[in-house]
Amino acid sequence: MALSERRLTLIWSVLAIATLASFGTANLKGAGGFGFALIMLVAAFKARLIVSNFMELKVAPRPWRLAFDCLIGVSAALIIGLHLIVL
Amino acid sequence: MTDAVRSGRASVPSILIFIAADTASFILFFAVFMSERAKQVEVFARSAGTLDVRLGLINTLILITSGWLVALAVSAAKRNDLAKVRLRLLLAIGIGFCFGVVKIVEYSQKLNDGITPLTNAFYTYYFVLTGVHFLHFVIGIILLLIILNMSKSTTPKAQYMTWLESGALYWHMVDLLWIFLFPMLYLQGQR
Repeated sequence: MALSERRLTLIWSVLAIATLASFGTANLKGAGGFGFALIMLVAAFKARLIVSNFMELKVAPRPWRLAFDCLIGVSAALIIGLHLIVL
Repeated sequence: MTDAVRSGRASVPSILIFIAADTASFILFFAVFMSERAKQVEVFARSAGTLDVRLGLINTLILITSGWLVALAVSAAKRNDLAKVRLRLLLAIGIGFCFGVVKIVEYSQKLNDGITPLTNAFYTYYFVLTGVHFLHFVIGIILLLIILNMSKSTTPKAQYMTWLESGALYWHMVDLLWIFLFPMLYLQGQR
């Protein structure tokens, strides 16, 4: 397996572990407050891994990297902010 | 991603513009959902508690794995290893297809329990958001099937790479959107 493919496999492992860890945090009932905020931060981390590695945006022109980082950041900030505001 | 794009000498694939715009429109959906939730926190938390988190978790793992296989297919295509491209695409499609099966099972369970988009505001958003995402998923599967079929034909390499890379980017977007939808819909409780 080529080095880049090993990296892709490593990223997949991290994504799977992070997904299971989020599930462990929320369990079957869901999480509220800062527990949910943590879950959304993990989701944003996973999204960034996908964008940078699977979509290969880490080698794209800088404006595109920034654009996708903004989309991920805005999504997470919006969901976390509106969740915490009603606590 | 092609060398020309990587160096910034060429225009970015138009599919990236579409993906950015589509993701931005989903952010608006997220904003509307969260605003409505703020007005009816208890209803949304109680309704979210009736969703089967295990099915959402399985679907997240399915999309992550399918996306990884598509990324590996792109990697194999760059080395002209067509046999691996086909195998990995086939596996990605097969595993990805399970997402649709799980989603249909989930919709059926809800409808059998008498839960419809009209039950309350949470379920309206649940069915609309996951429904729009499901439409993206179906388009993604069809694209991957077309690309798999093209790998058996005599399509010129440059043209095939454009199709493969664009299809792969689209498929990763389906994964990306679910990464946010899953916790927002399934894992969001009260305190």
